[in-house]
Amino acid sequence: VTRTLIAVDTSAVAPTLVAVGRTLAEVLATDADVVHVREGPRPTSEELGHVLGTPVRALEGDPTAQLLSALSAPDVALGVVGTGTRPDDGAIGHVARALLVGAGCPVLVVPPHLRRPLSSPPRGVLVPLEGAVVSDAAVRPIVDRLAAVRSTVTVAHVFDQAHPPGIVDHPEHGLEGWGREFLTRSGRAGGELVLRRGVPWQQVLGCVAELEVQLLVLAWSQRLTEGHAAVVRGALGRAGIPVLLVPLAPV
Amino acid sequence: MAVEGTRTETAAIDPPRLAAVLVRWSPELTPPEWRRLERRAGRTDLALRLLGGPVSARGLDRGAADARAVRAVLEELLREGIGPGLVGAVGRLPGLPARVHRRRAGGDSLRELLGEQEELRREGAVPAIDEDPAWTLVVEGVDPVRQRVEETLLTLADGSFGTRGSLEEGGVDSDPLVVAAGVYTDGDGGPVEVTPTLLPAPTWTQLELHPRLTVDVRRSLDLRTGTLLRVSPDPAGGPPLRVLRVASLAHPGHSLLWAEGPADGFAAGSALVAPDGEVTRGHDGEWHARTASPVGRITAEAIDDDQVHGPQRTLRRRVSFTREVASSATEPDRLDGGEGPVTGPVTCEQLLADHRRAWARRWERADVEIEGDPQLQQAVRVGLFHLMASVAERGEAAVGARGLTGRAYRGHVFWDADVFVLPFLAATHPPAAAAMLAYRVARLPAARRAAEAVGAAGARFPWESAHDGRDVTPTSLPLRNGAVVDVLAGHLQEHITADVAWAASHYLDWTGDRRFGHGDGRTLLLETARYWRSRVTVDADGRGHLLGVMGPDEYHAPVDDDAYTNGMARWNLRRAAGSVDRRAPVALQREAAAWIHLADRIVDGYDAASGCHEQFVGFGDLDPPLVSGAPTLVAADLLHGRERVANSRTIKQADVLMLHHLLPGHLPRGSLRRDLERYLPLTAHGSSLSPAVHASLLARAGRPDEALELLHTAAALDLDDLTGSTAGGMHLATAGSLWQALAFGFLGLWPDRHGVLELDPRLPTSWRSLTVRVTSRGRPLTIRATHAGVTISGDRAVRVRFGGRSHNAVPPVTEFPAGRSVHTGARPPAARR
Repeated sequence: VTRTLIAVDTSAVAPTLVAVGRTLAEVLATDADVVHVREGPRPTSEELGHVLGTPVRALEGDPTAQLLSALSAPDVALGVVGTGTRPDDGAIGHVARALLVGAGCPVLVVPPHLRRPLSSPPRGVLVPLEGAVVSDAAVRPIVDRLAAVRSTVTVAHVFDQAHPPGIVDHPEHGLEGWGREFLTRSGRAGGELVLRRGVPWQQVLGCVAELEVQLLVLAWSQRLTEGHAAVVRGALGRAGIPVLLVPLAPV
Repeated sequence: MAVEGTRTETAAIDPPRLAAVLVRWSPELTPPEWRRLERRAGRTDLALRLLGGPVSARGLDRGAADARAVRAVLEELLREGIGPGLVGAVGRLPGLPARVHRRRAGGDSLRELLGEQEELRREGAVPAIDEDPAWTLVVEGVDPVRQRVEETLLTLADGSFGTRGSLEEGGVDSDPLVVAAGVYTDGDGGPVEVTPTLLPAPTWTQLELHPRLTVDVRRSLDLRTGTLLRVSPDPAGGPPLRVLRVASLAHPGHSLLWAEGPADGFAAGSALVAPDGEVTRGHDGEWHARTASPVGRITAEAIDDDQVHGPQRTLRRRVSFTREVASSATEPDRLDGGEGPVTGPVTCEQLLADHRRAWARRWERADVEIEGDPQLQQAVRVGLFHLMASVAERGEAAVGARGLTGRAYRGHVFWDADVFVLPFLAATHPPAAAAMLAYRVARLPAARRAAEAVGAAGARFPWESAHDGRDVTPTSLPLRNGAVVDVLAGHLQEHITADVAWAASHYLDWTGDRRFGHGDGRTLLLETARYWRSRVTVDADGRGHLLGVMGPDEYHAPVDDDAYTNGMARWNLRRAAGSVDRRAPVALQREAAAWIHLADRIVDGYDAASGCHEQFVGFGDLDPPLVSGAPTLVAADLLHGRERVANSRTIKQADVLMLHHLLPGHLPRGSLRRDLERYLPLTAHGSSLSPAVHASLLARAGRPDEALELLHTAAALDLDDLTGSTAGGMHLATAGSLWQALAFGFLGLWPDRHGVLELDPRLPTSWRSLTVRVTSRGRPLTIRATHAGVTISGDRAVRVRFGGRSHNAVPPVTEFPAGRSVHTGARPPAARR
């Protein structure tokens, strides 16, 4: 049995975090393990559990260190965190940021105000892919799982200068075959593919809005510094839906 | 994919599976004994060749046993498709290649070898292939990402039927497919999905494999003989699984799957599978299957000979296909009688031998050799292999954009076939080129109707064509947001009509086929010229214009006076007029005079001051290009958006330069160099046809070293899947353009209307030689260019032109030293002149 570790604080976002985390735990067929790092005597785990309507396990000490340690347990399949109430990166708080870049497992980041609720199972899931084998492989198990529980999975690919479209002799013919092969290689044979061109993070956000998806799944290299993970940074700040970040496997 | 050819699989088999044995004479091989051994070998289809020994009154002396004699015998065997890896040698013989299997001298040794070969044949052992690195495409392992690309590359076809190289066990990552040339589903105009597509035929290559045999897979495609061998060792210690496949070039419609392996490791399963068709099983391993559409039908019959001897199973599956197509242009409701006899060669061994021989004969007149670039050498052979395999030599050949290797582009026939595929075949195997032209000729009635429908005369060929010659170009591209993009190519890309005429003319220049030239070929030229005459708009100044067209640069359309379209139309009018002589009816002579008059007035965009052609009216006023000038292979329209690209001087592929490619000598002297300087930096190479055409022109313009980058790009297009779309099939026209770059560009080879071959080689400094084999006016020729000169080998004289002078190349070999005429990339252009 594996766990989905849902890290809550005492903010108003905690109930949403638990609800979203439980949904994903169910999708992944894992146990939901709600944890709270106490920074003072109150509230106790029991008190917090009572408010949230679920058992809460208490951890003691530095929140970042404690949660990273908890997430590193071999039976943790997924971490669930909020973006934080005091964002220091325009999008996420320092604890969430540390967890994202430090966790060895996928982490679901839940914004404070969901643009639309997450149904169970999630109805629409957007998976932007750049066509790299490593990112395809990273998200594949989770996306397969989502598809298995009948979530509608849409793959998005954005053509830009970094990922220009190669030769397509005649788009009216060529895009059909190119898209079919792109989906097959990413493990989504026969699925839905949306092609866009432009600035990737803007296009991904455009797809989130246009397709009214409830969940965004992104593979990433866990680098949030300038010049990296533009789509992740854009999504965390503006998507308004839970963003599931899946680390690339170490090379 | 690991494409390499360094391991020789044949060497690992014991005993070796041989097709021929060279025997060094020894005293115990008396004439009666030798005759006995020959008879014995003959019963096993093993070729025996005796070398050396004293002169015998009974004529058994096979001549000397020196290296020259050995080479001669090996060459003779190669012409049978028997490479050194399939040859054994008994006794010491000089000059044997490393792959030849050697045995000690003497009658006992030979008898032992014969015994082994007889035993192998009794067991039904799968024959070997000769893994010559220069001729073998090897795929190691199974890569789920590359699997469909490899299936494309390993396709076997016989000109009429193509079978993708899918693994016998199939799998979720596999896209198995069998198609028949010219057999489509029904369809109509509209979005791409409603247009006709190739009708999938029953598949025949599937086997039921134990999972243990699917882990370690090695597949080798012997390009020289068109045979595909799969070997999978048995981790349980049993004999390895070996599967040989053949789609018979000698007997189109007949295929063979020959397997051996552990009895508990594989089973025949269903010999034929047709998810959307009917499959029935008869007695004694017989299977029958059929797929059908309203306009075509494909029938397959298979017989499995499944034998188990102890721990080993052997399976021989013979398959015969028959295709029936609705009579294309005239009676769409009638199904023609199928082709491809159900019965065929008597034995599997005979079928294989005939097949090897047929491929060897094709290569003998088509191979290209490049000394100094083994990677390019292999890529060229892969391309030529699929070109030859995709086109039948009888009847009509409908050659789709991906040939018989995949489902992309739905098998539709574009200008790719006429302009890029046909020239190679016209120069190397004219019957196949004639079959391609027969496809166009049969669709002349539809082309006439198409012209009439737009108020024009003559014949207008469709941009995309399938079974009946109607235009099947998709008319729209629906987007996910509900928007629909109109596809204009079918309406505007009228140059296809001149391209078809050019193909007919080019075929005539290579072959001198009088019957075609005075018959259907002439009709094609006349009818297309009539179309242009009615299509050209003449202004008040008497100048002819083609308004609202799309050239090969599809980023800009509609445009007025596209240089390529105008240039081809002008050529078409003149060429047709040239086919009308004084014996023709007066009315036709008057027509011809009018064509010449009009051709002389069609604007061509040439500016004498700059020495360049303007691609179309207003091109120079557009925004700066969106490409950097370096070869990038970018679909600029998808990256930047149609409108932005259309407003810029960004070119998809050669347009002005395409005219230089097809009509050398018809454009102002010096304009090739100027046009290259102007247009190459503007080109995004958003078409798979672009790289090789530019490489060809760079070579012709005296820049062969610069041409290499684009040439290698074209060569790697499918092998390295540079487009991400090779899974859907080989870019057949790219393979054709690669040949053209070598023949027309680097060798400077071009046939004129009178059968004289122009030669003007431009070799890159890194190549030692370039050898191209062609057949001009029925005369097979081998033309070899080095930095030191050119040699032309053949058995009949041929007229060639070097540097403006005409020469007679006389058999068997004529040498032209470099000082007289050969140019090399090592010298500056001024020195060459």
